[in-house]
Formats: sequence, structure tokens, C-alpha cells
Amino acid sequence: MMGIRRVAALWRRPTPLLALAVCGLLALVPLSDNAEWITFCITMMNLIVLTYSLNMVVGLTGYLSFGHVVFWGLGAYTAGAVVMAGGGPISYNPYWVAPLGGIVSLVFAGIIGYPTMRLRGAYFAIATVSINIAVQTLFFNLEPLGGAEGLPLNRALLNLADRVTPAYYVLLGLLFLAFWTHYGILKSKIGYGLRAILNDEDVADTMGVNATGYKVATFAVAAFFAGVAGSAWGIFQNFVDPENFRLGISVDLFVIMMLGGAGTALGPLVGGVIYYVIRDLLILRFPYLHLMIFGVVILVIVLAFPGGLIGTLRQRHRGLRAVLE
Amino acid sequence: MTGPPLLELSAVTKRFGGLTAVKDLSMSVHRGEIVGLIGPNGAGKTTIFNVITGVYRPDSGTVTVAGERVDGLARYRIARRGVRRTYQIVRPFADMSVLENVLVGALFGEAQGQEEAEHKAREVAAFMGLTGREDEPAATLNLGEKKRLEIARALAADPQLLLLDEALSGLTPREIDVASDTISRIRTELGKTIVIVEHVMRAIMAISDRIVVLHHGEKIADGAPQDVRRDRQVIEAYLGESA
Amino acid sequence: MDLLLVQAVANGLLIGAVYGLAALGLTLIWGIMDVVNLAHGEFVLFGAYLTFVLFSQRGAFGGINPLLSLLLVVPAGLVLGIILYRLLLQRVVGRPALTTLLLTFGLSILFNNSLLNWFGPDVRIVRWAQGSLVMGGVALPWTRLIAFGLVVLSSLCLFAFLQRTYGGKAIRAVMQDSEAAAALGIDTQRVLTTAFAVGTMLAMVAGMLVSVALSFSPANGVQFSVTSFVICVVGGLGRPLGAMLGGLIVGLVESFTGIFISQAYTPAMVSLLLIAFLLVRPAGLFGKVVR
Repeated sequence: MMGIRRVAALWRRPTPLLALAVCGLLALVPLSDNAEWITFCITMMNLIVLTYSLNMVVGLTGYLSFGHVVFWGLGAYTAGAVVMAGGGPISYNPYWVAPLGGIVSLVFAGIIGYPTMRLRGAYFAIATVSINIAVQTLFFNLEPLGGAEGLPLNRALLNLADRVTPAYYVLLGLLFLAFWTHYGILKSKIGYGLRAILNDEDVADTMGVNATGYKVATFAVAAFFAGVAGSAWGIFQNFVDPENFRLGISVDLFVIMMLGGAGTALGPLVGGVIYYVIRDLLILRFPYLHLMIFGVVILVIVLAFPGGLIGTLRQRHRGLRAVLE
Repeated sequence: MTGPPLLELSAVTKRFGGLTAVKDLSMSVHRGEIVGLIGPNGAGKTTIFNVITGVYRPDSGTVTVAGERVDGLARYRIARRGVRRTYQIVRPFADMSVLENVLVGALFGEAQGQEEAEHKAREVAAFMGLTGREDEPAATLNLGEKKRLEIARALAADPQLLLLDEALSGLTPREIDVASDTISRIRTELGKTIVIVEHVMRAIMAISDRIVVLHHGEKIADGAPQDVRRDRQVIEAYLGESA
Repeated sequence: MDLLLVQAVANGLLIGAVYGLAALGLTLIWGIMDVVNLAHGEFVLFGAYLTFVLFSQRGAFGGINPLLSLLLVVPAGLVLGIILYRLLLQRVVGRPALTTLLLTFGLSILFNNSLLNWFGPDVRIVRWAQGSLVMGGVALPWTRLIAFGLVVLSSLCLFAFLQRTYGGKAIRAVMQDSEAAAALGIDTQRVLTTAFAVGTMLAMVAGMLVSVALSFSPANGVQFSVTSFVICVVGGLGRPLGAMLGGLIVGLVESFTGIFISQAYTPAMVSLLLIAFLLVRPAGLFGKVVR
């Protein structure tokens, strides 16, 4: 891939350093041995990775992948299926299966990407929702993988002493990788190609940009991240079920992405932290109120601050542009 | 103007439902030529550009670029054979700056690597007189500047063949003179082969080596400007107006 | 076996009519202002919950017959539509599709969770006109027969409105060519407001029918939205006839899947129907094929 060396040289820029700093802080949390913090961060990082995945599709290609959670669920079930396939306790560390979940999601995205990305705007959005529902229904009825009740994984994971720490670092590594992938794309030839496609796909095509190829490839790469996160999550929870395809999760992802700023490299990170902290504060007291508030948040962002937090800051303070990307 | 043609259309026909937009058209363009394509509105000129660039697939006939057939190929593949075009109604990438627009052209052209592309982009922007406007959003340019941007974007890819679709329409007489001069220089200084569709008669007659005249999708004349001017068929069909 | 087939057809047609009415509102809005209202399912729920509240209330203003509650549901729908359009949607019509989709998405979240907050996640139903008409061995629930009748009535009213009144004709004009309509002196903003109001109202009326003919809870919001979309795609955007026909088709697909395969597979079959149309004939049965 052209320009990898060039992208790697970018690490000294403010934005990657910021991301590195946040990840560095996150890396220290498990050392505290505070189970509450660790679980808090694992859940938050999972959401952030998923948001990066969504951000790559929405922000870079402009396609609204409302059914995006399907890739997360596929990752979870892949992990579940693989570890349980042996029938008994496995001898290897199950987290090695995580990339497999990513690959399954990547391939699935590649397959559905070609026909669906020919559709514009709302049609694509609804198609992804339909696909999500269809896949969920499939797993709901798939008895060998637990059906509606879901699939507990304890039988396979008996030998695993520590389920938490590997999950933490897998998700953290994934988060950093997702950030770098997004940032790298933005800065590279691929990013320019995608922006050209976003502006005018026909013109881009006649300029030598393989529009369909780029869109589907971005979709597939994004799905990979969601899939790996799903696998890690499934193993961490010791359980996979059709709720891993819950459409409501996509809602959370959209809120985070828009809050942070769709298309930006730091958006999912910033949005994710803010969202999750607020949600944690509100959810205990008002079960549905926080979601009502987030509905209003989306309305406000769409009408007044379309760039989200990062986008608006960049607009208002030109000096911050180099720092916050 | 020697050697095999760079672009060759052979018996190309394109129909849209009941309408035959291009009928049995054969024409060729040699390296280093500037060929003008004229004809009344609806004669099929833009359709031909669309067929060459792969937007439409010809119903019959072939399109050959540098000896290889391109009809039926995906648009981006044809572009990668060294074919670039500008549009009748300008289509800049509105959310990107002037330089970024040209940079896209360079990145997906012959330039190797991002540094070379950036260099090329600045070079071409300078050639087209856009230095100084490089960081402005493309949407803020006036029409003349946007037209120059269109050409710059195409040129930055270092194409073999440049197709200009009414690059002069909407320009003031002075802008037309400057643009005509630039187009000539693209051929003489940069060695490009150009096919230009135009309604501004005096300009296209002046800069073209050869003129191809279309009427109702058929070629009715193909020769030097002074000959085409005097061709009775052409005069009947079209040259009642002058620019 | 024959009887089962007839029952499946009857079920499908009866419930399909209600789906069609809901989709009618969406296709009108989508067809005229190219806005895909992702909160559509919530509008349906509003109608359902309003009917439910009126029906379940104890006391002087309680126990209201659902048919009577239409007197409140219809104006409520119109008013809600007008308010939402003027306040929010007017600002984003003309902006890129992403913006309007995300706006209605936000509305959907707000409305759905408001309903959850207010009524809780329990499944509700309006127990009125119980029992079925049994004809030739086939059971036709009274609620669904009445719903079917109301749908026919509403459709006729809508067609009359679109064909015979100035407002309706103006809507059709703007749907075909908004610039030409404006040049003819039609107040396009007013027409768009009216269209959105009528669309919302139709959704709420469908909601009222849903409350008696089906069960409902906030969780069904997405489902109603998706089903309405599928119908719009199948029938063609902005085509009222297409919406009705599409509704019947979806109703039949659901009922046949439910009876001959399994109730659990219905969402998947409807999804497959959508995907099939999107790939083969995205313009729908009555839509114009673009390019």
C-alpha cells in the first residue's frame, strides 16, 4: 500500500499524539485492579471501536450504515461458534479467535457491499437495517448456536484463568489501530479518492478513481474492526445471543459519532468518552430519559452543529485545526 | 501527426430508446493534434465524449485508445489509460480547495507517490494561472476560474488524451482569447492531444488542426478548418450562426 | 389445506390494508419532499397510544370507543405534522439527504424513548369489538374487518382529496414538478406543510387501527418504520395506489410466512422482499424507472 511510510511519519503530529496519550492513560487502568473501572473502560472502548467502524463508513463514504451492528454480532457469533466447536474446554487462548471474527465480518461486508452501495441515501440505510434484521432473525432461529436463548461459552472457556485483562488490551489495541487506520486514510491517496467520491462520484470515476471498489473496500475494512470487537466482547461476556444484533446499539453509535464529529479522526474517541460518562451518570436515575436527551442531542447537532464537537471547534478556532483532526 | 492514431472511433453507434444519438461514426485523432468537434445542439458531441470515457457503452462499433480497445471497460479503467475530460457544466469538488481538486487529478494520474503528485499539482495549477487561489474552497471561484480548475484537474493526471467539453462557453471575449491561447500551449508546451467540443466558432476554427462536423449524430465533414468552413453541407446544417 | 390457504390470504389482506394505510402517509411525504421520515413508526405508535389512553381512561372522559377517538386522532395528527414541519423539517428540506435522515432519526429516538418513559415497555392492546366473523370455515376477526373498512374509507377520502380538491391537486403538482408548480403561483411551502400534516395524520390513523387489530409497544416503532419503507419501495414512491397494493403484498408475505413456515421468520422474509425489489426494481411497481 502506497504511502504507509509517509503515514507512519505522521505520528509526531498533534492529533496522533493526543490519541496516543488517551490510549496511554487507558493502558494504565488495569494496573489499578479496580474491577469497576476496568469494566467501565472495556464497555466504553468497545463502543468507541464500533463508532470508529461506523465513522469510517459514514464519515468517509457518506453512506448511512444504520444496520452496522450486524458486523459486531457476526464477530461475536464467530467467536462463540469457533470456541464451542471443539465440544469441550479449549487449550488455547480464545482471544486468538478475535481476528477471525473480523475476517468474517469483512467478507460479509464485501459481499453485501457491492449490491447495496449502488443504492443511494435512504435506500442503502434501510437496506442495511433490513439485512441486520434478517441476520438477527436467522441467529434467533439457529438452535445449534443457542437460538433465542443465546449461547453460553463456559464449557469452552473453563481453562481460561483471566478473561478480563486480554479483553481489555485487545480492545485497546483495536481502538488505537482503528484510530490510525482512519487517520491514515484521511491523509493518504485513499482519503482523497474517497472525498472525491463523496463530492461527485461520476467525476471521480472518470478521473481514474475506482469508486465502487473504494467504497466497498472501506466498508469491508470498517466491518473488520466491528467484527474483531464483537469477538472480543463475546468471549469477555462468556455469552453470545441475538441481542448482539440489537438495532438500538446502532443508535448509540450514531449519537457518539455525531457528538464527536462524523468523519473526524478524534471524533469517536472524544464523543465516546463524553457519551459514556454522561450515560453512566444518567442511566441509573432515569432509565429512558438519557435516550430522550440523546435524541434531542442529535436534533441539535443536525440543526446547529453538524460538525459535532471536533468539527465545530475546528470551524470556530482555526488555530486548533492542526491539533484536532 | 504521424503514426497510428491515439484515438480511433470505428463505426460507433449509440441509441437511447428510439433516438439514435450517434450513428455509424468513424473518426481518428493522432498524437499531438487538436481536433475540434462541432455541430448544432443535439448533434451528439457530448454523447461521443461519454462513449469515449465509458459513461455509455456503444451499441455497435469500437473505441480504441493507443491501440487498445476501451469500449465496454469501466470508466476508471479507461481513465487510467490516459484519457481525461472536462465537463460542459463545471463540476469541481465543492468541499475541497483548489489545490486539493488538482491534487486528486495528480494522485490518480501518472505521478508516483504523494510528493510527486503534490509537486505536479502545484505545477499544473501555476500553468493554469491558479496560483494564489490554491487554498480557497473550489466553490468560491468564478466561472472562468472554475473552468481553468476543470482543465487543471484533468491535466494534473498527465493524460495522453484530453477531452474538453465546451471549455469556452460562458466566458467573456477576453477570457476566450486567454483560454484559447492556453489550450494551444497545452498542445505545444505539454505535448497533449486534444479533442475539443465548442460552439465558439472563431476560437475553435483558430486553434484546431482539423474540424469534425456532426449533424444528427452523423459525421458530415472532416478536414482543415478553412475547408470545413466552405463545405456546403456544413453551411446548410449549421453555420448560419457565427460566434 | 385449502382452508389454510384461504385463511392465510384473508389474514394477509386484512392486516396488509392497515400496513398500506400507514405506508400511504410515508409515501406521500417521501414522494413530495424526498424526505425519508425515520420517525414514521413513532407516528403510528402515537396514534395507537392515543387511542389506548382514551379507551382505557376511567371516569367521565374514559372508555371512549376507538372509532370516536378518531375525532381526536385525526386533528392531532394534522397538528403534529404542521408543528414538526414548520419547526424542524422546513429547515432541512433541500439540504443533503444525510441531514434529513439524521434529523428524523433523532426525532425517532426522542419520540420512541418518550413513549418508553411514559408508558413503559409493556405490550398493549385495545380490547374492543372482540370475536370473529366465521365465513366458510375462515375466521375473520371483527377488529380487522372494521379496520379494513376504515382503510377503504380513508383511501377513498384521500383519493378524493388528491383528485378533487385544490389542496390535493396542488400536492400532486408539487410532487411532479415543484418549480413549475411554484411558477404557477402555488405556495409550495404551504403544500409541503399540508402534505406532511396529511402524511402524519394517516400514520396516526393507521396507529389507531393497529391498537385494535394488533398489539403494540414502543419496540414496534422500528418495525412499523421498516414495514412502511418496504411497502413504499415495493409500491413506488409517491404512489398512493402503490402503497395500498404494496401493503397488501407485504401483508400476504407476512401471513403466508407465519402460517406455512414460522412466525419467527416473518421479519427475515419481509427483509428479503425489500432487498429483492431494491436489486431488481428499485422504482417499485408503479414508480418511474430513473435512467
